[in-house]
Amino acid sequence: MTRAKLPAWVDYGLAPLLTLAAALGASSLAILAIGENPWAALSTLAGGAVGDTSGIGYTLYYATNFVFAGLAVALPFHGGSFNIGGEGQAYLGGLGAALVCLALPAASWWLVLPLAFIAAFAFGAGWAFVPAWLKATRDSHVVITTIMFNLIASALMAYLLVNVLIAPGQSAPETVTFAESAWLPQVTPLLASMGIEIGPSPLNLSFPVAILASFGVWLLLWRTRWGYEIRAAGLNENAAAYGGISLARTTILSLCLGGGLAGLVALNEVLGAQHRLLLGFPGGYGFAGIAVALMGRNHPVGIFLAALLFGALYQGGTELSFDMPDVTREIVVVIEGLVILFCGALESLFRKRLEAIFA
Amino acid sequence: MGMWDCMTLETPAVAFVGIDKRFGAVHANRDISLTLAKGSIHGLIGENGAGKSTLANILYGYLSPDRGEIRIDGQPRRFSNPSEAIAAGIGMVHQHFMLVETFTVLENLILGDGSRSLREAKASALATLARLAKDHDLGVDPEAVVATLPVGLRQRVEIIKALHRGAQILILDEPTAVLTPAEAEGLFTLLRALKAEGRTVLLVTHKLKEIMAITDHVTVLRQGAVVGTVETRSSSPAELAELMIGRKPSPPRRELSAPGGAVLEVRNLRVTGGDGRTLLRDASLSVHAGEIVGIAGVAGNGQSELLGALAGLLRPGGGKVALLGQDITRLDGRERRGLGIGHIPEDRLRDGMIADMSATETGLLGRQHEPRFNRPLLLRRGFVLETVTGWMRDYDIRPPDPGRASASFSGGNQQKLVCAREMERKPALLLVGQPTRGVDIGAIEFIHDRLLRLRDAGAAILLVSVELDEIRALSDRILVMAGGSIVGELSPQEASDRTLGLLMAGMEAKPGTEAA
Repeated sequence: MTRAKLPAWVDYGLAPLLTLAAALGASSLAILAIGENPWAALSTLAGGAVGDTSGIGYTLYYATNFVFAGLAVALPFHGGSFNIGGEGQAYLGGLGAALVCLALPAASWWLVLPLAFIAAFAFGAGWAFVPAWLKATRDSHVVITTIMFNLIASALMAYLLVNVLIAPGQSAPETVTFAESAWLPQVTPLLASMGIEIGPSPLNLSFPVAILASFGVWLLLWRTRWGYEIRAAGLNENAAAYGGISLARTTILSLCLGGGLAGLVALNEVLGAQHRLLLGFPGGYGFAGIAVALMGRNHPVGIFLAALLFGALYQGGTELSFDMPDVTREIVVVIEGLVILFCGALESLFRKRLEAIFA
Repeated sequence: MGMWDCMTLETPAVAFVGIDKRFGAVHANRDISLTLAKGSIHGLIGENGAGKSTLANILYGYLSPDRGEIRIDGQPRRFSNPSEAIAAGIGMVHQHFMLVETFTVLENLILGDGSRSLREAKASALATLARLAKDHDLGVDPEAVVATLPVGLRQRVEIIKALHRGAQILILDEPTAVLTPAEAEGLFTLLRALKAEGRTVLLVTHKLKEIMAITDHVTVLRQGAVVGTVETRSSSPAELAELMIGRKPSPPRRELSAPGGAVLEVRNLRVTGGDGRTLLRDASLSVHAGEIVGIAGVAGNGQSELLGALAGLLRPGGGKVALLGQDITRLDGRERRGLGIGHIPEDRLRDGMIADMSATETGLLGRQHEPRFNRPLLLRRGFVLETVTGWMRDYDIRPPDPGRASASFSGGNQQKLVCAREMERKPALLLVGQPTRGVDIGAIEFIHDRLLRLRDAGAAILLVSVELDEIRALSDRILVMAGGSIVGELSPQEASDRTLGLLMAGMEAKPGTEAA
């Protein structure tokens, strides 16, 4: 049975809102179960995420990571590859950015920032290339290879940070702080210089880059010949071959571009917020990107919205466990998990009923 | 007394009374009444979209009618799902088989059988198999994995499955679409035997030949309504065709072609399968400008490999291919397209279109490199849309909505879209595989006419088809393939069913020996 066609505002607006409401309903039960007031908890969560400019700043800062990580899954997905390797690709992206910043400590920002951007993208893309090449030539399963490459990335980076890149005379496995010329400008001081006061947050210029990247992915996939070929190959390999499309090429292209986008997580984290390379800096964003992409239906607009939701949950959840000590970090994770479960996996929960009404 | 009751004095096995069904704006069945006499084979014929499948699915409990009722042996019945229909003795063999391919025949038979224990289910399935093997010569190895069986045997498993569930009324939906002529003949023999046992068969098809060959009565549907029920014996294909499309079908123009120079020259082309078997053996042929060369043969005798190797989709194991004098043996599909090869593939859903994309995007497939559809970076989407809209008008593709998903067009309209895309490139050479498979009569006529027009405009056309009538009607020369080789060449006048049949069966029949 094929899915009936729903009006766009129902498919992309009403249906997600209904599932979100159901998710919050289920979360309320979890909060009730630990003896807390769901209303108070959920309003603390919402207030933490969007209640003041600092909260909004943090929400958008987290959302930036989710946008890059989500796009990193979605773009290869359209080409028929399930990229689970965002985490490792982001990690390597960080290495690329850090190497540029460490190599050019005295260079000015207009040189080091573009180079670091390119390096982050290139290292992420390079890390995706091997699984992509294996799939294109040996038909290896990318789910397996990209997962393995996450593990390899994590081992490689641990080695490099502990033995090679570690700041001299320090015990924590992290690099020295970069020269300030390599810091991606943050929004709070930027607006302050224009006379607009907002609360402090690590939100930086990678957020507009994430918006541009979303637009770029949309443009590539739906407006160019290369995007057409990627989507054609993803939907029907036989027809793609018939149409003169090289499957090897679309596979490698889409996975490497995805890897590059994952590498851009480093833009936000390494260049925008931490200003040094930390052990384990991708912090699960790469994996969360899978859920973001699924929830956003692999469309850049959907991914952007899903990333905002994830960012808000992340920020609000941190605030919640801080303000209400009984709501432990684990319960916050449960709430986040429920939202992801409902919005990602149970997205067709209300579909039948909506189809009956609108289709 | 209703007008249909005169067909038989017995209570009919099935009676549809005033069945009406709508899907949104589409009125799929309009007040349909007809009866199936017990122990008869009843044909249900009509063009794609005439409402045949809807009616069959209503009988099988997949769909429930908006109005009207179904009577089985005179009793009004209402099925809300296929299980209830099966319990009432109705079985259905779908066009796309509903078998678990990784299971064995036996496992498929006991699937959903409802016995209390696995042992009991197995025993009863084996008993059925043994009985059918004895009564109807329906031998199937119970331990064979379905995926390894040829299509004809898979269909047989479907039928056995229905009989195992005690089907007295058997619905077959386009059963011969996937069969070779010999397999189809085997199916017909079986259906006659089932009829002799007193079972009732509803044969849903759009092929007049089958209707004439095997049915006792035939009901013609057009645009969801019954336009006539006749006794097959007293009817003719011409009469039925006219009922189906509402006018007399016009025979394709057959004027002699005036071939020009050679466009395609193939020497000793060879294709070897993954398992080392030779699938195409030293094929040599040429196609001239303004000529249609037809390749006749039973499906699976190397025709697909020939098309694939010529289109650049299969790497040949040897031989030489030249287009307009240029050696293209080493060029890939994209490069060959660039040199003027068009290709209407044998299986449009698998190769020729992207079901989930819009008609516009399917219209771009294989032509996405053409400069006229590209700006330096972006596709010229407006122009693509305009072009496909133009095709929809010129090729009468319905509904003329280029934004609609390719999959949601009927088979005939999908095929016309593929034809438009490949023909409107004005190819020097057009490779055509099974151009009218699963296509209704109106679209068949249209596609045949377009192929002839393209020929008259000077294109070289290589036509592969398992429909001998189609080969004869269109070809200027006929090549016959058997066992991966080209085994003979005939003119359309020489190509009697018998001569072709002998050649196709791999017999040594000298071309022309029979032409008197």
